[in-house]
Amino acid sequence: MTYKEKLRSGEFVVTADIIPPKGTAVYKTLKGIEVLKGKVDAINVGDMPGANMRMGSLAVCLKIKEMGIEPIMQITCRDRNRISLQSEMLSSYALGVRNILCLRGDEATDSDNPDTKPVFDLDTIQLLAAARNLEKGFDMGGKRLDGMPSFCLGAALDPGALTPQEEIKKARLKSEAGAEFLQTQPIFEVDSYARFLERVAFLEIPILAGVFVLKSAASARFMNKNIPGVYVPDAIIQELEKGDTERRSLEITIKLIRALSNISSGIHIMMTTPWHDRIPFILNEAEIAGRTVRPAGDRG
Amino acid sequence: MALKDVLKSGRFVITTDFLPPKGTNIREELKILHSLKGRVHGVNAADNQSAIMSLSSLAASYLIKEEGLEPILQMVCRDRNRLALQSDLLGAYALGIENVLVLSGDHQSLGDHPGAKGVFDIESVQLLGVARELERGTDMSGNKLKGSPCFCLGAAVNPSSIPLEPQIIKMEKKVAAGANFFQTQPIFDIEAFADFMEQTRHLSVPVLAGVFLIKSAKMAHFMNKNISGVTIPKFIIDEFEKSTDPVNTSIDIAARLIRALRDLSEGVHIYTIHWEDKVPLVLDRAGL
Repeated sequence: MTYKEKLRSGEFVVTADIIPPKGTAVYKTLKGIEVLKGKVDAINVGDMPGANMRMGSLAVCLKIKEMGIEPIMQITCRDRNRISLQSEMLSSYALGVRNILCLRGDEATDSDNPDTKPVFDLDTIQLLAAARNLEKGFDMGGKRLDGMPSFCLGAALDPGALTPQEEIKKARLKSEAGAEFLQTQPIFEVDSYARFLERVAFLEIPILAGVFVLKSAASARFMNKNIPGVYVPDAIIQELEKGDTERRSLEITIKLIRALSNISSGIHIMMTTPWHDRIPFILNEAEIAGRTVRPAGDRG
Repeated sequence: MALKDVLKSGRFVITTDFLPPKGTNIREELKILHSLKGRVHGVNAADNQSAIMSLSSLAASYLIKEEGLEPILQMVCRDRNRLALQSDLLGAYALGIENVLVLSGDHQSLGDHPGAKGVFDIESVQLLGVARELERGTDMSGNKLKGSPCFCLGAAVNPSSIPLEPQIIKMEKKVAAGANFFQTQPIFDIEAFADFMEQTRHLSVPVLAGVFLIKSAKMAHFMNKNISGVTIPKFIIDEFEKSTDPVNTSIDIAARLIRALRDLSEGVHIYTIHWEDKVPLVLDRAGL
């Protein structure tokens, strides 16, 4: 079953992510995810997260597809205008990459190419709409296409947004524009996430809870300081400070996934590089491996 | 043979172009290239030519390569910023695409998305330099790469530009930035082109003279009116107006041009605008 079919059938879905290499050494990146074949439903390929220059998402998606793993191509509005964005989406379909996650993209000012000119010709809602318009056989200029694509489209959701009302409104617009699933920012507080989910239940599309594998107390503190909308509770940071960090990190992740799997349509495991080989263990311990049915009460 | 080896071999180099479709039906359209196998040394995949939104040149190059032809990836500076351009260069290399033709790109107001934002974060000379920097193992901001690519880089020049001097200065800059070869705008005036070649002899970089397959007198009139730097002489237009077989006339004129250009340039680039299948006939008649 494809990722799209799984989303539609109501199966519990598990995705992970990779960050393309900064350079041509893609072989190593691919080697790292071999262990995920058959363990996750799809892998997100980042489009220069943090606006740090890396190999193109589409090229890496093709490589992953060759390995027999289903890719989800991330595409941001930061680096391409509407000509290039539509061109890229037609291309991804023609080359067999059907899952696209539409994102705004991080600002480039603090990136490794800080002088980059931000494009933002379209926003994510317009990008989703443009993709759906391509499916109907037209480009944004209203010109008819010679062969039309068919996508599985996703977008991001930030449950920790400072203005949740705004975020919920945006999520509704994304869903109306064509998002078939949403992926959240990292979740660490399950109770407040559960309450947020109730507020977006009306969307009736699967929401994948973001699970960030914290590799150290320092990275937790970094996130609290630098990533708006993400809050790692003190209890977790204290736990990580006790030493034996890897074991504790995996335990925290497993506990989180167990709790999230009771309230979510699926999970998206983030920032796993270079810990891809721990994912099968995590999924096993969290009793996710082989899970097909979504929990009762999930209306996604 | 890889284009870069053909360029070094001293053979007369022949390239042509492919315009990716506006839509996903590319595999069907690629069949037209079958007759070019063994006849051309490279096929340009256009990058949203004339700012008309189409399937990307990267995808087209990838599929041209699958068809057994040597792709030349065109990249314009209009639609992507430096992050995406560098990122796509790395991606292209990972997909086995090594030839890149760097262009500024037609202004978006000329295309079918006139409201698109013109990006132009960097221009063509800078983009050539960036590609060379990636080869040396760093990105545009000097950050180290893990694994560096290796490209054969091309650029464009318009020998019919008046005045010619600024074109030559730009060409010199492109050579200094890393251009391995040039493709020119369509050439119709052989004497002026010979003069241009004379004036740029010091650059010693292969120049592929542009040969355009004119399809009709109407098209010739349109080009004279709308495309700056291109002048199709009256005698060619007259030939079309008298012709009862415009395809034959087009092939004839192109073959004659190639025969004349053969002794002047290192190769030709044939602009087909969807007449890719006429290229073998042109080459036959030109004795290539």
